[in-house]
Amino acid sequence: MRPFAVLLRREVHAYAVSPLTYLVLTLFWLMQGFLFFLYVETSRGDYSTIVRATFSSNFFFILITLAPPLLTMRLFAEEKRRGTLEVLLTAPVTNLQVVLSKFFASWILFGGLWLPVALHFLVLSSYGSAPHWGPIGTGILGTLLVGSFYCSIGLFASVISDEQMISAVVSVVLCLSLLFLHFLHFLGPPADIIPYLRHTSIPFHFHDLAKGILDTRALTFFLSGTLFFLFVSWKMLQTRQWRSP
Amino acid sequence: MIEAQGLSKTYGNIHALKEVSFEAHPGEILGVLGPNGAGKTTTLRILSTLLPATSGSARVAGFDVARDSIEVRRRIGYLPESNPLPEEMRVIEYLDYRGQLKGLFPRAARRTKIEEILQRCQVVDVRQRILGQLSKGYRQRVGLADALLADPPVVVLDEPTSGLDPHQVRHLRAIVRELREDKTVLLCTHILSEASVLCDRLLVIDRGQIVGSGTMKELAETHSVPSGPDALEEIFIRITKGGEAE
Repeated sequence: MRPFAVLLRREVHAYAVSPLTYLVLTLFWLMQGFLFFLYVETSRGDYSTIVRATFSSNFFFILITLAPPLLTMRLFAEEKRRGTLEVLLTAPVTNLQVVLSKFFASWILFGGLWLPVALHFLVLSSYGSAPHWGPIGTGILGTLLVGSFYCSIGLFASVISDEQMISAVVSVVLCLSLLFLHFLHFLGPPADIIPYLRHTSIPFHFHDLAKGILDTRALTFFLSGTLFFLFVSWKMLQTRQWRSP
Repeated sequence: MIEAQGLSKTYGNIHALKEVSFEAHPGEILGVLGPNGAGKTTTLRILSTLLPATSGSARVAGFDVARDSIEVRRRIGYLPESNPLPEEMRVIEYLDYRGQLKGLFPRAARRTKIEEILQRCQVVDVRQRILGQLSKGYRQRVGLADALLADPPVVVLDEPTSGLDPHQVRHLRAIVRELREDKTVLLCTHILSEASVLCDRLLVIDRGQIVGSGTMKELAETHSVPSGPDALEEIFIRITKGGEAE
């Protein structure tokens, strides 16, 4: 456990000294502030409309899809390019500890990106009647679950690539694929595969959470997706060692 | 302390190592020599648990490098050839982080050890500097400080003096000589003069195979080379062909 804690601290520190972190945080917080202002203005203070817009709008899905690739692209790609991964793996740490520490560091930062959402609702509640915290809570939980899934995909993309940009592109393509599977039924695929396509898309599972419904199918989908990509990343890291010249 | 038995490594059709066997004992500096691409670094990477061997086995400090890799890593200090370092960290932060990874606890003991190693490797004056701004010589010394930090019984140094000026080379060689007192040192180099002044025994690898081993005197006798300043170079030229592994 101790090496994991040491590695996690190191990864969080690496984020803390990276200018990219502050650029991403600033852009996302500004964007969320602007969107929140827009939702409050257009909904005339109706909480349920604001909550629905916050967690179901197209802007929301764009932000939640673009953030993880930006946060995860450097995790392994940069270490491989510099050669520091080799030095790291001569220390008494396991590949799994390395993978998990990088994943949790990116997920912590991802959570930080969405901090203003919780603060916005707290501020709003001080100006009027208390909002229904249920949908807000499940919306935030859903956001963190989608984030864990996407961060694990980003981590996987970083393990298989030596270049940050390639890692980011692979990650964006994979994340967008999971987003747009939902819309493939417009293309008229065979009727019997439509339910399967729906069940592998992010918005399908997120929809209920945004309405305040805690569905175990959604939890299972996001957690199993996260575990799958963490497992593949761990195995890819091992096979990379076997293949490296 | 280091036992390698029939180590082989292949990448597809390329045989980087073929049946390499050798031993290194405590209190000994074993020099690993060979032309570029001969398989020296592959050997060191297998012993440092970075690469699995295709066949054969190796033990470091009594632990199998394949089965007990974490135990091996606890007992080995490795300085890789290019010595990559995280550019954004300060020297002191980096050594503190590496000390924690290597299990140097509690903090007070780690701090004491770091101070000692900063003195020993002569990097005290750059302790607060950012690694990305250090000269090649300092980077190499920070890498060596990291390798020695946890006081490992086995130290593996891959081209430790490459890119250093003569003063730095002399200082680094003095440190390596001190290590002989209680450690097993594996020194990989293609600087023959360095090998002849530092190493107790030599292992010459060419195209993935051991083509010579023994003390300088034994190698000279085996290959009928008269002793002198150029003896090792003469032996090296006679027994190696150069070129990459097949």
